[in-house]
Amino acid sequence: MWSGYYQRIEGIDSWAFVGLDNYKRVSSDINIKPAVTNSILFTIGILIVNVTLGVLIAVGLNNKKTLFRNGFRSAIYLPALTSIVVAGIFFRLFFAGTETTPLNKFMTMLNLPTREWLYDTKITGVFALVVTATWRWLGTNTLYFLCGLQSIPDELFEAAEIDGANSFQKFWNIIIPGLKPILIFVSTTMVYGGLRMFGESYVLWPRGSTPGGIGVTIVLYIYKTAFTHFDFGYASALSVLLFIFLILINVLFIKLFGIGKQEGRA
Amino acid sequence: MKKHHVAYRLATTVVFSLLSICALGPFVYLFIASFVEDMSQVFKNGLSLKIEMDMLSLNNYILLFTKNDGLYFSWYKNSLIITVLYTAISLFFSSLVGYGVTMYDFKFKKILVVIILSTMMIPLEILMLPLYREMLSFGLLNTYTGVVMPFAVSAFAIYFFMQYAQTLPKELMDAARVDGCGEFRIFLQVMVPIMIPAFGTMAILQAMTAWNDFLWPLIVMSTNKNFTLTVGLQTYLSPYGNNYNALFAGAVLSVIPIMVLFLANQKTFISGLTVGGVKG
Repeated sequence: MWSGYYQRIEGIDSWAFVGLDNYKRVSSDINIKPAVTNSILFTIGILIVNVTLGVLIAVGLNNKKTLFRNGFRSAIYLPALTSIVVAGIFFRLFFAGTETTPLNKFMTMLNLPTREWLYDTKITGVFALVVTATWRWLGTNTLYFLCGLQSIPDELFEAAEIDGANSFQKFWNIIIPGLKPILIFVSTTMVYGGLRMFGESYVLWPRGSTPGGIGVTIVLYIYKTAFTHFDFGYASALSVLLFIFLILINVLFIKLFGIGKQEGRA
Repeated sequence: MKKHHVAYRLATTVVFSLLSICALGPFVYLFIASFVEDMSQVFKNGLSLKIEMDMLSLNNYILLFTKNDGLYFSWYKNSLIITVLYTAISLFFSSLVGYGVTMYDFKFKKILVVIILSTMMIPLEILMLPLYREMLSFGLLNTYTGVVMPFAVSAFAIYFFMQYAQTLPKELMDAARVDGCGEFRIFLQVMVPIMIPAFGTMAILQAMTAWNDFLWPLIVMSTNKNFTLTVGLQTYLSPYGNNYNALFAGAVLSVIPIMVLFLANQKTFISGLTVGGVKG
């Protein structure tokens, strides 16, 4: 933690106390802004996609009328087993600029211009990150929601049936309140996992070669500062700031939703 | 009413089939493309590659195995060793801590538990720089120990064993003590057999974590020969062009062990994931 106050001079073992200089640099560093924007946009994207899709898929898989439930559950979960590198290999091709990728074909179908998704704008970059991350994260989140749905007592649904509630009313008045603890848990892990995301960015733009700030994230920027530019002091200062930010978010979540949901990991 | 059911089944089957294609498509694509030697075809046609039988060969795999004197085998070996070490250390220590903290009363126990659990709030990404320096001063950079040591005993695993230990019958401890059994033997010979399901679940989860881990081995390991599979494969991806022949084959082989583990233990896997994260 103390290394945030030091400036590396030469060799990793020479230290000089520079007071708060490393922290002052943050405000004038133009490379920070894209990293923070990308990380926050990514977090918002991953949160919305994983929570809505996760709940909907889980509701579908939980319904006894749905066919092949176990098969679909396993299929949707399988990507969670892979490492980010394997995902990166595929999604680099998926987001490639050639006209024949499924994504660009779809764009042509809609009469929209094809794109070099990874090198177009910051927004397409974040989009690629969200898709890549969702491929690996959605299965686990769906399992969490499924587990939560199974703990909602059947009597509630039977009672609703007798009262003549329709599917939407059941969803809104039974499923959503019943899932509340899981919704909080998944949102917390998504926000936490989103803000500390590194791997997706590192493999989609190999070795962190993020062009003009497309796709760079906070942790990737810290990593590059430390291990490419060997500026350990500044990188440590950034880590400390990120840590404070994460703690603040955590406190906010606890204040909003109550305590006790700190178990588990992203 | 009946008609309504048919429509629902049709709709959900279609939607879930599409989702499954999205989820499984990348695996299928990587698998098929790993047998295509002429990568210019893959580039030209992207994902809409039309496969003909005479394009397929095992040459990518042969290339992967012979490239750089079989470097890929070292990566595989490193990943295996690290996964085994990580899982073994994790199970041994976290079960002991989780069990001890739950079954015994001692001074400062509450504070200790709070400290252990609060480390879950500090992500690896924050700790990577101080830990790197620590590994540097311990002389553990570029070693297996350096990769395994900092994270093998996680608060998550300890918490998991704490939960499980709460279901253990304390009377058994007294009975064993009357028979003159030492405390450590009680743990090993009485309690561990009861906790076998917990060990199984945790073993699978930890093995998967270690096998797929990327950021920390990337930081610790610095020579080609010492890379793990994830770190090594990633070196074939570069900003200046990718070695897709070796990448595809390497990726396919790297996924297989964890797939086998999953398909053989699906139930344990899924229950373990959900027990750890969410209680009801």
